[in-house]
Amino acid sequence: MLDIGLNHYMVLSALVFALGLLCMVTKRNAIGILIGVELVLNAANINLVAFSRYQTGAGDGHIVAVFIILLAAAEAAIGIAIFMNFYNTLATIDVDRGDELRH
Amino acid sequence: MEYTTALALGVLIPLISFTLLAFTGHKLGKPRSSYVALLAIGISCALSTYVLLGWLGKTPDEREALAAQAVANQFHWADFGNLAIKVGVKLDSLTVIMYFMVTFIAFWIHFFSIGYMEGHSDEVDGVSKYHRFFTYLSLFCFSMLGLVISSSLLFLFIFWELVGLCSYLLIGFYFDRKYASDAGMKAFITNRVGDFGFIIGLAMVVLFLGTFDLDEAARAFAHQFNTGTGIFEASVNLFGWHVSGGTLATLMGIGLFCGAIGKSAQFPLHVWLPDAMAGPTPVSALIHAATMVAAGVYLVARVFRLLTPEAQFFIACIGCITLTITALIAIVQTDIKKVLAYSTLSQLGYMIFGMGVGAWVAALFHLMTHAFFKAMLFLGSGQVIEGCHHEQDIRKMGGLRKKMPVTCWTFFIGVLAIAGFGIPGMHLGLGGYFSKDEILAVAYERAFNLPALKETDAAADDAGEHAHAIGRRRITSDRSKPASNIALASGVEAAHAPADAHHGDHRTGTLEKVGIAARLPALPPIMFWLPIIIAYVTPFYMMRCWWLTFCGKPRDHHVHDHAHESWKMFLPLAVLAIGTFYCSFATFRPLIHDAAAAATNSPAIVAIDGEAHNLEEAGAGAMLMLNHAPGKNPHDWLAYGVGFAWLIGMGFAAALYRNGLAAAERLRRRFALIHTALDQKLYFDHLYDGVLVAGTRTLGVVCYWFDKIFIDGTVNGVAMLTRWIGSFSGRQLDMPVQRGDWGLVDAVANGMAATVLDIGSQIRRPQSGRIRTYVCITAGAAAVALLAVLYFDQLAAGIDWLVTRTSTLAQG
Amino acid sequence: MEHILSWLIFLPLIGAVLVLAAPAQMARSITWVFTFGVFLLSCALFGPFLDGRAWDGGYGTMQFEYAIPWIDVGGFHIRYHVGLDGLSFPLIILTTLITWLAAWASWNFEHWNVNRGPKGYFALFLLLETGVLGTFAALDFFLFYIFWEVMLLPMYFLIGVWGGPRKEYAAIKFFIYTLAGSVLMLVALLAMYYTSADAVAGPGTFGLIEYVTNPAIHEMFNSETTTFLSWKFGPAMFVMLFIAFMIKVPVFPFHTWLPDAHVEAPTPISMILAGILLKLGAYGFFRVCYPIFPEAASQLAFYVALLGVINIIYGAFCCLAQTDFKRLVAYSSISHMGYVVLGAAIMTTTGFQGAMFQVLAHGISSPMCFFLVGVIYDRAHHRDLNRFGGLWLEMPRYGSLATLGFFASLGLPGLCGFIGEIWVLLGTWSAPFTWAKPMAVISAFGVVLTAAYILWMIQRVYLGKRKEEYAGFPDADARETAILIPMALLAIFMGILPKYTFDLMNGTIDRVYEIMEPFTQVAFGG
Repeated sequence: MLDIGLNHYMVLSALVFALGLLCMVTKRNAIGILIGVELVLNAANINLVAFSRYQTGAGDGHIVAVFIILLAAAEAAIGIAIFMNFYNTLATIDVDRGDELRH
Repeated sequence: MEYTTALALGVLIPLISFTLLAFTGHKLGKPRSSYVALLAIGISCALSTYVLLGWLGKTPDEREALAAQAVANQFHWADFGNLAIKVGVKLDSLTVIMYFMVTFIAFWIHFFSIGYMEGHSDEVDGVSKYHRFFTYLSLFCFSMLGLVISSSLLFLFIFWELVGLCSYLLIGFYFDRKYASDAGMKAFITNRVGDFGFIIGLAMVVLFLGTFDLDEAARAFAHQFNTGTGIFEASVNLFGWHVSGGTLATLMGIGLFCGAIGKSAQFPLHVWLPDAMAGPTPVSALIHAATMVAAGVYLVARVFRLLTPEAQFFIACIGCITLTITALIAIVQTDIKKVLAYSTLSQLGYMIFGMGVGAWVAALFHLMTHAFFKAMLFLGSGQVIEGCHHEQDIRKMGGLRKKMPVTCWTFFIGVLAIAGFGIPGMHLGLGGYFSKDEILAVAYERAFNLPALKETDAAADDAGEHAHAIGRRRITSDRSKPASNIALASGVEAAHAPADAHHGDHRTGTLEKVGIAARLPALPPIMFWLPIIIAYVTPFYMMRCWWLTFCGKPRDHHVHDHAHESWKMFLPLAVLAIGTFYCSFATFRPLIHDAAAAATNSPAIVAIDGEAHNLEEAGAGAMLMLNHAPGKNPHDWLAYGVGFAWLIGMGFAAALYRNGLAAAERLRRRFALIHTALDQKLYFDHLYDGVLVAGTRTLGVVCYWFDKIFIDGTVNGVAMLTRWIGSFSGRQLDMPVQRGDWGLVDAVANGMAATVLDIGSQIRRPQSGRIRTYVCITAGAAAVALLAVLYFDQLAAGIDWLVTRTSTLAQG
Repeated sequence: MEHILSWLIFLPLIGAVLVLAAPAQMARSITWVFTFGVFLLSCALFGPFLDGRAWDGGYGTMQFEYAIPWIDVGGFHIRYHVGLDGLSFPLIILTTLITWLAAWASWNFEHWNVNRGPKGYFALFLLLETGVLGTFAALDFFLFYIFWEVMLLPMYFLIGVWGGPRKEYAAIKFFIYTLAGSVLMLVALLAMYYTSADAVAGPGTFGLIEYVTNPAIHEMFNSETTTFLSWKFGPAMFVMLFIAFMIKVPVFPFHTWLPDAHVEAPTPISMILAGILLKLGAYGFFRVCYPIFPEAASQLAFYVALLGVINIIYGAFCCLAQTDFKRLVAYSSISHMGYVVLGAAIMTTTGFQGAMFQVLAHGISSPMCFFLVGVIYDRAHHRDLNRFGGLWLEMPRYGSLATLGFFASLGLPGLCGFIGEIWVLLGTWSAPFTWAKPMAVISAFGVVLTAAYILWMIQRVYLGKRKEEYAGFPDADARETAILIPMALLAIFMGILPKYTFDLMNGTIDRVYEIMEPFTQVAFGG
């Protein structure tokens, strides 16, 4: 059986990151984009924990990961609040419609 | 009280009155505000009488001492660079006599105005402007008296402008009427044109003579003239025209004289004075006949010592042209005040002409006599206008003699005076007779006897007698006797009187040989003949005016029925009539003679005699000539020839108009062309309105649109560049739309703003507002960054290779 | 005592903070009290200036001088250095007086047709005063620059927020023009700093006085061999600084922001703009351009004088074409400031005296004229000259004061405008340049044009028959009269007894002339 090493985590992380990015790029639904953002953040988390486990061994990566999870939660909350207002204003959550600032 | 203090007080009291009336006039109301002004000028008049009487009792030496004291008491006003400007009272006979004349006439005109303005001040939409009239009048008295006593050219100029302001305010007194405010504006701006020259002259005086003070300037000028230094060796490049030496000095004189051209309404700036009749009649009498317009003559008299022969000649030409054309125009005027206005112009022309030919004494004498009789004539015309319900057209009058006898006969005295009434050979006549004929006599000398004059000059210098002659004439100027029939005769008498050795010696000691007389150009004969002819025209148009107004049958019964005489205004007329008689016979003339001496022989002066020589020689040249050649008097025929001009001119007018206007109408039809030209005032107003005024306004519009025109021609480059950049964004610039002040200047500023805006538009193109685009860009950028980090070495090597290859290529 | 000048400068700033803190309805009272207090404080500074001997110490002898190091980083030695001499002191007095009167003129703020509260307006107003006073007092070039910029911003907002219909356009134009000038000034400032470091072979200086009084620096600045980029140092600096200041004066061809700014600005701001801000440019000439770069100034004198003459004549002609009352007064400002430029250009005592006097005289007469326009605008709500008429009958007191104000502007002897004009004209004629006399002749023609446009304007507005449209207009009220009276009195005082105004500045002008004298080619009177 192949030993699960750092490289495996990194590949996984890269895959999750790519999926998250793809999600952000393709979705017009705001919630979809938020999910994409969560995926990207968690890809980073995987990396952090993996490096912490295999490289430094001091567990500092874990701490940062926990911070990011907290931040992601906060970000999701704020993001959803924004989308509520967005919906109230435009009666949709299609982000392509929200280009007022451009003008 | 010291004389300077008295004179200064006399100037300041009207100023106090002005201040008082300006703030409380509307509360004081109708009659009371006039009493304030009358009281003020009354005090000034009393002070001036005090000074005059005191001055008459002084010997020349005492007068010199007093004048020196006045110089010492000057007040430091400001610094012009390193030059201290002093203000003080110029104390000499000319000041004293002018001062007296102004206060005296002003007092009686104030008196007249109290009655006259009662009916003439409520016309401005029911708001009484009565107090305002007297406020301005007080300001005028202050300014005019200040002008008279100024010892410095700068202060003369300052008061000069102030009397101009008063004139503006009083001409435009009925400012709700367009023509009145137009006339005021015309007067002020025309005067400013003259002042433009005055400023240049002033600038030349201060640069070359290094002072503003009249006496110091004269001293410096004489010194420079004698030594050929200063202005006589300077050279100035004026717009490529190199002016140097004597020409420059002439230009300085002409510059100063420009002020007089404006204020004394000489050709070509004479156009404002007839229009100035839009003001109330007392104003016409005081400002536009007796005092302010004479200020130009006064100025020339004051700066006479700074005039070169050429400048004098120029002055004579201007005077000659003015006196001729304005007298001709006067013939066809139908408005009683316009006739008087043109006659004023003509008489001012005589004065200026007199100054120009060097008849300094005669010109000032004419100024004095003219002030009295013209003020009287104007007040008389005011009576007529008042009596005829504001009718000013003499064609509608006629037969008023019975209705207003006092006015009629005082007016007639004025007509006689201006016509030059007198009986040759009998020392009898009114003021105008002596003064005008004296000017003509000097003109005759200058025109026909100049070689003799020069010879005399040379001879006198050789023999050293010249100084004696001057001293003699100066001392013996006939103070006690009435002036003789013509000036020349008076000169003969004077010259034969015993010489005062002391003064003669005193002057000899400091006399410098200058010989300006040797440089005096001969007058062209035409400049003698024109004034002679006009001396016949003057009685004609004045008599015409009088006859049409007072004699014959009434032509407009409406006017005639209303005509009445106001006894309230009778006193000033009578007083001025007496003054007209008085000044013909008594003190004025000798005092002016003395002024001539004082003006040329200021006590503090060392090197003045060059100019004294000039003045005396030119003004009294004829006398000197006669002194050397007694018995050969060529002037008898002149005296008789001109002496009866009044009779001929007046007789012709009376004959022409004895049966009303019919005969004149026939004459008019025959000479329709000439009549129209004269009636249109020789088209000067048309010319100025059409060319100068319109030209200036057009230039204003052109200047205002200059930038706009400029943008179309030259600055399109900036705009096109901007548009080219702007075309990328596909959006039009929305800078605010501009009105009016377009321009190159704007275009640059706006162009810069627009460029910034356009760069912004380009930059924001990727800012699609779509979140997916942003993510793509971010990811792409991250990828590029990653690749760059990973393959940095290879990248660097590649670039290196590229550079090497390129440089190899370039070398190969 | 040594801080009295700093108090003067920053007192308005304290006022501005107070205005922001206090309730809105108190803003105008606070501003009035503070501006008046500053005016009184500035009057307390008269003492040493009444004594002519205060200037015996040579150029740079300052009163109420105070200097401390301020910013000392990266080789820059910037000081907080303020002081007053004969050039700046009269302008300080002018500033405090006119600002006070303008604050008073803002009293009817609530009647203006604006939708912004008074707090911002009055706070910016006071900030503006700090900027102006600081600029006049600063003796360190960097400090000068800072204050210059500080003054710019409030003005931008005062025009742009509280202005007329085209306020944005006018404000942006004003801002861009002035900023462009500032950029040039900044470049010059740095170049001068480094060059001064070269000259003394040590740390450079921003001291406006040291540039003149330190022989090494002054010599290097005026030397033919010193360069900036590839230009000669002196002329390059002079031109850059001159452009920076001439925009403010304003001098043709950079003048067009002025009419727009004036037309759009509210009346009190116009008063400040014409009465004080334009004077900053002129002050820049006297303080920076001429004493520091006399060599370049004498080389370029012809062009400077030419611009001055163009200003006089061109401005006057433009006046003749105006139909907007305020625009006319704005163009007349351009014309009158031309005398200042001409007076400075000829580099003689007389010219500087005349130019400085004209600065002060115009500082009195032009706010007066703008206020007079404002008074009538408040009532008629338009400024079309052709629609006015007969106002003297309707409002006699206002009419009389207006006549006085406009005659002061016309340059009537006995009022302030005359002295400056005649000094400059006579001085130009006497100046030691061959081209000076034609210039004097041309600019003397300006007196005719000035009379023409002013009298024509008076005729159109004040004379003539009463009009229905203006029937029942109230005469100038107590406040308006009270604002006009000090300016009227000063106009008369300066016209009748100019000596006392000259005495304030003559000492310093003589010193400046001593600096410039070696660089003008021919002696006076040639």
